[in-house]
Amino acid sequence: MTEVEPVRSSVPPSHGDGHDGHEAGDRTGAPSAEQEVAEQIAHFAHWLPEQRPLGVFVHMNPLGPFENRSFHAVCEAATRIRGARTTLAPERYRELRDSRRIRPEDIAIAQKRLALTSRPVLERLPVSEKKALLFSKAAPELAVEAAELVNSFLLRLLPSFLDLGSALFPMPGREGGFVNVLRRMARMPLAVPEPWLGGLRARLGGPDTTSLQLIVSCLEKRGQRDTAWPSIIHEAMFALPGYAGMVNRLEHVPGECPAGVKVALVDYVAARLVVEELALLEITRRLFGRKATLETLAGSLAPMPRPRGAFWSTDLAAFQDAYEEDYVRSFVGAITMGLEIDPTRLSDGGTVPEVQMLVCIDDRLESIRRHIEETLPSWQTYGSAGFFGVALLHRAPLSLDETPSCPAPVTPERRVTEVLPDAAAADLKRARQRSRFFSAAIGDDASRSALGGIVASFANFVRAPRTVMQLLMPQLFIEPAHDFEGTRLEYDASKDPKGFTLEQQATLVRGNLANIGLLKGFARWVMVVAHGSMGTNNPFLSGYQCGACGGQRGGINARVFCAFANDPEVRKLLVTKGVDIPAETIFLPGEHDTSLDVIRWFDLEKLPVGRRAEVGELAQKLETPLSKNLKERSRRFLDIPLDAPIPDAVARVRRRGVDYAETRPEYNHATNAACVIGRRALTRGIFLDRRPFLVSYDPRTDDENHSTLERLMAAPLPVCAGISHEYYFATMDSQRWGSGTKLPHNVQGLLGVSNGADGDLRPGLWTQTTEIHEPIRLVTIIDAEPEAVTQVLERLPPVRNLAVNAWIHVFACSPSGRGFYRWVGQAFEPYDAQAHALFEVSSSLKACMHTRENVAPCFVVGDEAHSEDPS
Amino acid sequence: MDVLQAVASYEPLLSLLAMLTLLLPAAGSLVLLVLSISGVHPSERWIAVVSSTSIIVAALSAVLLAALTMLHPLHEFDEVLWTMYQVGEYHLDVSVYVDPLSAMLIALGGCVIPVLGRYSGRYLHKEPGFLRFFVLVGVAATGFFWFVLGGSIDMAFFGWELLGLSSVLLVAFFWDRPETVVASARIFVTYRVADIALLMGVVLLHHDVGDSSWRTVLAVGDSGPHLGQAAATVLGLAFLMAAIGKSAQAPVSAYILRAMEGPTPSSALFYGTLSIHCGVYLLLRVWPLLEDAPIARGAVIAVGAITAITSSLSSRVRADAKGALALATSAQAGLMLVETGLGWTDLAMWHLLAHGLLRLGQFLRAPSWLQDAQLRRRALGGGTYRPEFHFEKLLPAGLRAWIHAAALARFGFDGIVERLFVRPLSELAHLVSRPRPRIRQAGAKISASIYPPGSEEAEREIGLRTSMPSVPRSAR
Repeated sequence: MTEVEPVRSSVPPSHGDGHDGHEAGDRTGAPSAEQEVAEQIAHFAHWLPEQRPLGVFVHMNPLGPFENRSFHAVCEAATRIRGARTTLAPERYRELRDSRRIRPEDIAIAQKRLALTSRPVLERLPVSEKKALLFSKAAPELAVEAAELVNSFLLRLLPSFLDLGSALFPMPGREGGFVNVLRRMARMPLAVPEPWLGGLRARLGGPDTTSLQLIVSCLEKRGQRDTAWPSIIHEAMFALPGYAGMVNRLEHVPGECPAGVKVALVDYVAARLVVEELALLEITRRLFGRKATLETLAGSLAPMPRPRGAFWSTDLAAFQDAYEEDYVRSFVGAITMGLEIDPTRLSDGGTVPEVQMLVCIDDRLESIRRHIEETLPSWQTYGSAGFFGVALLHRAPLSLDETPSCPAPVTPERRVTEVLPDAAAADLKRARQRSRFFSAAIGDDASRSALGGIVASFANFVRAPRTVMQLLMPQLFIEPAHDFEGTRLEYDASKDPKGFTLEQQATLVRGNLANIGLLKGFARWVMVVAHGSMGTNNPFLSGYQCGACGGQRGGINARVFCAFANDPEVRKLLVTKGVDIPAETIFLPGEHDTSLDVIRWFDLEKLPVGRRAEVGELAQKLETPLSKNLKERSRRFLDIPLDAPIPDAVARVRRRGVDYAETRPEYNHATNAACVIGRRALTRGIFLDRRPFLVSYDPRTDDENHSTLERLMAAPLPVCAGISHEYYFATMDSQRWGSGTKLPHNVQGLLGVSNGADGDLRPGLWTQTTEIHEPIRLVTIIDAEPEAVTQVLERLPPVRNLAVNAWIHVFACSPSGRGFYRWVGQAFEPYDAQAHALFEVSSSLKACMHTRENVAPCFVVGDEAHSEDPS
Repeated sequence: MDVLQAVASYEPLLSLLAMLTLLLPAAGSLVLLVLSISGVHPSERWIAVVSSTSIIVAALSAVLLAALTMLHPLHEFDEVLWTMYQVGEYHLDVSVYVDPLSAMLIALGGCVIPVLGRYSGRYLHKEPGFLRFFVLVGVAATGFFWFVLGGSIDMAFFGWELLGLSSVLLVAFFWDRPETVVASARIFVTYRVADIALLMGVVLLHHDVGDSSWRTVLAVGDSGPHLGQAAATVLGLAFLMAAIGKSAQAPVSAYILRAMEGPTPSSALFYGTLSIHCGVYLLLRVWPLLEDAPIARGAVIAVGAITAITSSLSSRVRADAKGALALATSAQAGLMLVETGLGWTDLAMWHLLAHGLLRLGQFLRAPSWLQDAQLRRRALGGGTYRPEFHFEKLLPAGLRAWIHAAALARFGFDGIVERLFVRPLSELAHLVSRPRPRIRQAGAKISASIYPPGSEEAEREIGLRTSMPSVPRSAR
């Protein structure tokens, strides 16, 4: 791993791209000031939060761009650059050490290892000279006052400028960019009423002054080019990290940007620097009188920037490493134990299961799989990324929108359209017209106008009783979220040029079946169950949906996959590809609601009449595992007693999804900690407490090149790691990596949330979901020979980065019985996995229903006597 | 029916209901406070039980009282519960006065406060300030009932103060964020100015009318004492100023945006439903005084109309949920002032009731803003969250751009307030604090004892033992 000092302001980048429109500079070799500033901004932009707009929120590593650097080095740099903590508080580590959750010997080992590895210092800012005008050098009151002036002005404009469609009267002229909006406003009376911004119009210049020119002219007034500029730009970009990050995101992802709006980070920085300059001038004048200039202020500043609040040290890092060892040991130990107790568990029994069920790899589904297998031992479950390999653009009935339903990095090209029968379509049209009319004439939109407000108030008398009822008795309003029942799917390339050809359909089906290792021995029923989550009054709702479907409910993907797999033509083609699906096998699409724990089945009318009745029986069989799963989930909610009888716990958990007042409808990925890519046999029968992502993979069906493993490590693994990292950092510093408590959150421009009416956007996870999280880097176990994993990693540099730089723990569990190998530094080393002493319990509920804390892995021995009901 | 009327005329019962309403919420808060001070840390469940019992019983009594009064043939209930003290002519009474106007507001408050209590009990689950929140809700309920139910303007003033105090403290609920503290200080100052105006009105009323009970005040002009035109005008303007502060009217309307720093249910309680309407209610209450003061009426209409126009435009350009709702609320309160000034008091009264219920639901559903927008997008058939057309499109482009920019800047009102009040006040504060270094040092010592110094130094000595020098943190 070559660690290069990151690009500093004075060093031009060695690679020669991006040298296009800039005059001069290039020929002489030294970059022009503007070019240098542009590079500096682009460089810092990597440290900005990268969260997507709320409607398409998905989990991702907030430090994603730095996965090619060593984890601890990035944490150290992030602590300085973002001023955010990247470890737990020292007191917390001490507590954990005292309670033996962290072992002294692990600390010693971690300290030794950290001392041996050289950790490059990333992102060093130059020491600014004495006269540089930095906010951090001013007295605290002064800095706060100046920053408040600047922020209150910018925060008034930015939400309207970036608004996706929240304002009834959108900002005109946004196509010209932020600086031009300011220029126009500065010319109008009352538009910029702040007296201290009187000089704004003159300072912004004409429209031919570029943003970079503005930035350079501001910087020149505040300090030296090589010593002060980077620090000034750094301060300007991270003063409002939420908006700076959103501007950066929208600039680079035009699809998420409001239509026709020119968003650019340099515009924002230019506007910010100009306004900062005027604010500093105002402060100077207040302090030193009307005639004072910026030099007067610069002369009075403290010589060195004050260090920031957050703190990082190698000791804290060592404690963190040692802390994670504990879980590593118990998790790997449990699987080892399983193999020791029953060495035959990996060999197939040869019997075909009664039902095969494909669900998402989501950690939340670990428990439902466990309960299903416990209650229905003849069923077999598989974990496959919840889009089931079918990346598609989803078009709802009578809609122009094409929503991608696939993991975030994939760009789908094929389209699936839902078509309603004519009568239903006409009804839908009318219903929509009515809803548009009511909203505009007497509904929420009307209530924002003066006269409309009167009408809306009186019209509300009709609606008020329902609202009050729902506030008081939400349980009466549980209805599983339904999209459109009874639609026909149109995906055929012969009808829609963007559809799937027969060949593609067969390839996709085979691909996903190969991923999970299900190429022969099909059961009569293969259930393909996607997932989504019911919730209300929750701005982050899309974060609770299927991450593999880009934050959408995954039902459509399950329907499409099954439609492909049930098509006789496709099956004929599949035979030529070596997959022979028996005629009696039916793929049944469904969608599991992780909040209500209800499974909805689709396309039943397409089934042969004789088999339709069976679905009811199967659904009946699933009732028990579903309600046990609800019971298991209920232990995390303090307001539901641990000993509540199952029906009671079920009702109370379900109610959370529809309660307006509920800030924890479910705990989402809060307990994630691990990832297993391998056969279910490795983990079947072990209580893993909803902590691992379970990706099905069968090394025995893989080819020479391990191409299946490559696919699984290329796509689901980084997604799981991203979720884990987002939780990790938001738990470490809930105010800076996370968005703090949900209670005062306010939706801004449909982009993000802020505290109060005019606040910075707050990306990251909220404390109501991180409060029970244990910050542990993902413990990944791969069911393959270490050589195979090494080969695959060589082909996947981004994933290799994760392993090499210690962003995740990687283990290989050799299928040929050579034991465990752990990735250390650049390669695998044998790992001495100690079988971990475990309890044996008769059922999952027995394992966990005594505590609200995390539970170490246990063996569920499946008591024959079904007297396991704890209630 | 006769039985009901008989019950309604049975005054001890009504007095009892009034007592319960006036005292129970305060008692609930007091119990919680005493419990927490005495070191008992009641669980969330018990806090909710104490708070909701006191509030629900008080609210039910209030609603019952209002209903019974309306059954009474006179539609009025006026009773002195006890006299606190008496000096010559002057006597300070705790009394109740219920008439259709106050009955309506009592009914609104009586329905809304328990619903909000139930909502908050779940919403604030696991929040460190859980107890504080419910103590303050009790204070707010006390303030509201004293304000509305009180039989004299003295009692109304007391309630008004409690309501203001609790709302300021709830805005500062997350006091670890500097923005929150600044916002609540701003609101506190705004409220103080309004309080001074109301106090002036109270004093003038005592001076001019000689008695502060609503019965006497409302009889002015008909059977009671006569007020001169000038006195009525001054009184009317004083009450208007109080209403401007409480109901977020121009030019201080923007404070309601700062008030959104608090948790969602407290925003709904104060700035959507109760507190925001108290200014309007005050003017409706003293309407008999205003009736013969055309200048004051004109001023009420002007302030209301200006607010209705500016705040609703500002609400239409806002891109956030709570800010848009808050400004829309201020605009509706402005319209209610217009209605009052024009003499359409019945309309204003019903408007107030309807509007309070509307905003209650809207504020509590503010976190659904995005989901609602997605539904709207679906209803539009996709492609956009908003239809191309909006009313402002009818204006010429230049004017439209100006209106947008000015509405976003809230028509410069903030600047006026800034120059008239905030700057002089903070100058004064500087002046007072500057030449007293000793006081500042003492202050620094106190704050150092509360917040242990330098988290970093403390962290360095974390007992983790530093075997090697830590990396320089700051830019070197």
